[in-house]
Amino acid sequence: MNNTFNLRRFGLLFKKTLLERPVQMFGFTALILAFIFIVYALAKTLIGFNASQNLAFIWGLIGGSFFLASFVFNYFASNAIGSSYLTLPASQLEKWLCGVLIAAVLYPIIFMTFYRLMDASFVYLFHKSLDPAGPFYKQQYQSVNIFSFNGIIAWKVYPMYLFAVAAMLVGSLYFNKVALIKVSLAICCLIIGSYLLNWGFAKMFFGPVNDATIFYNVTIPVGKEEGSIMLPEKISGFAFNIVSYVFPAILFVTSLIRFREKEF
Amino acid sequence: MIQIENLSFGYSRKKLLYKNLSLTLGEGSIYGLLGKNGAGKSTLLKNVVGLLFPTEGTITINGYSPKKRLPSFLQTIYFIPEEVNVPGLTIHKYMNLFSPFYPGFNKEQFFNYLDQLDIKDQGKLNTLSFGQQKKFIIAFALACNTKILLLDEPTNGLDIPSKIRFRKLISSVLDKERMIIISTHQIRDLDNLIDRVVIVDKGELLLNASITEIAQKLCFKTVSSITDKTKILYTEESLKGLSVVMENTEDEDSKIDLEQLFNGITENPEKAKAIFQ
Amino acid sequence: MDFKENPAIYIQIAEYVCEQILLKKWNLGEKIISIRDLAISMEVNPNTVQRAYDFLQQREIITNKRGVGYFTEEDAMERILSFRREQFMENELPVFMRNIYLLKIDFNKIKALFDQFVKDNFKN
Repeated sequence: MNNTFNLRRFGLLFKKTLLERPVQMFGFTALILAFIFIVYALAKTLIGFNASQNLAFIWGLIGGSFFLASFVFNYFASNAIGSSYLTLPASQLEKWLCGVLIAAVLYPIIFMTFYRLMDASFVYLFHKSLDPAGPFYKQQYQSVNIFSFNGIIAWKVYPMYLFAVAAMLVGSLYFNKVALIKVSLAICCLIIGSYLLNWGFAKMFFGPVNDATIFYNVTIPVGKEEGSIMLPEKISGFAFNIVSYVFPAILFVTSLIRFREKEF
Repeated sequence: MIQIENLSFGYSRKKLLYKNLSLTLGEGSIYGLLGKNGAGKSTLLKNVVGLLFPTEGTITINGYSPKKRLPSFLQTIYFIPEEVNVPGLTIHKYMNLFSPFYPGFNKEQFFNYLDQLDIKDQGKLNTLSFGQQKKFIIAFALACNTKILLLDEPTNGLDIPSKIRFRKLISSVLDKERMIIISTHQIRDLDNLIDRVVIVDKGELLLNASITEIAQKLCFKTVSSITDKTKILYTEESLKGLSVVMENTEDEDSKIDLEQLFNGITENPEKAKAIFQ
Repeated sequence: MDFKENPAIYIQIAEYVCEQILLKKWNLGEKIISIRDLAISMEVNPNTVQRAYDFLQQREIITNKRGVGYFTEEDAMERILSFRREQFMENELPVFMRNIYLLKIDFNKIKALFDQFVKDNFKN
């Protein structure tokens, strides 16, 4: 039997991981989905359909995965649970993969399926509620569409979700207790720190600066207007990919390395 | 066989719990790992099972390196920490989810051991008392039939009848291919089960000997007065006079008192080393 | 005066086996309890019981029939008595004699008490 990866053993591990804490696993997920449903339904009336679609998608995908990622490796709060987890006869790759699969693959699939159903239902109801004979029917109808998983917003969300999950996985392997809070704080500090650093660099290069969004552009005052300095296209695309995909990938690999080195 | 060579370990770089510890343990025995609180008994066991990694030195167990945590190694060893944890599952569910990872697991033995330890099927495991949970894990661990069993303070939390059942169970599972290491400071609980004694103190190995060897080198008796102080390893007052642990120069064959042995060895390590040379 | 606390465990186990035979609970020439079962019932390491049985084998009090188990030797009685006498002389007798001396008991009275004791307990 292979010591690095064995499909049968991985299957047993996966089953064990899902079923050993069924209330937490399934309950947690159900809770997140229910929460997103409520957010979507309420936000629809408060900030408009499109905005609520975006909001629900962002919170659901990024937030939900983030929460689940804090959960898949949280065996280290107690001596006994951590010991029994690390000494279970499965390979470290399998254990790591199990956690990653649940937080970064299984949950997103479940979420996006649920989201699509929910979204489609709400959109359909909205369309049905319109009066076909009304003067603005066409505009109204076309103003609301099913959220596209291939749209601009979605593609901005995916890298953020990858980053959030990867960061949480790494974080939960460093912080044994209340990893969720600690990692959230760490990420906030990281973002604020990066923003300040970015702003600092921009100021050094460009003089007075109005705004310096991380990685994308720098806005400087030009006379009474604002000018935006952007990266040349090729470099912009390259930088975007590095930040969106390479960086989370590094974090994922880090989590595996950290897992192997975890002492308890 | 467990071969520990020049093991150094500490939770922080400045304070090393173990310095250059070397120790070999073989199958077919029940080892008593004795040490004071905080001496690092649990830490040593965790290094053996691969939960902690040596700062320096190596541990080799039947060719495996524990820190690699290979499944084929983990299948041969079971570690029961002092505080156990059981999920909110029934006995059968737990068995179905966890036993497939141990190829040596035997279902009949498992239920036999549960019966011997007086564990009844009563719904979710996490509703059992601490002692019952502990006994459950012990039954499961033994039923996995791993070559090496590490038990950290197993009798802690067990009531007196349970301790008796525990002793009987441990006695019944020992065979030539198995090694059982029990770390404890409740020496009286395990008195006659131990046939090899390992004593660690202040990061050093003070003793690794069979009880036969100990009975050959030391003599345990009660005297009215001490004539030759140089032979004495340890004394304490008792109802009949002075209980002493001393060098066995007259080839007497006395019953070992593990508590007195422990006290003698830890209080007088130099003398002990000289006697066991 | 020195007292040994107790003889080594394996000797105590050997004495126990002999005791069962002396009290006629186990008969000569018959199979005795296995090492494993005795270890379990006494909550003792089986290696220690093995040592006791090896010791009794050496003394030709019991014998091992491969695959079947341990049996008492037909003519073990004299050897058992001899072994127990040794133990008694070494361990129990010195304590007894010390007490007789310290408590200033007349040794001659002991003989009379002994005769009465045998009459009460062993002759029916």
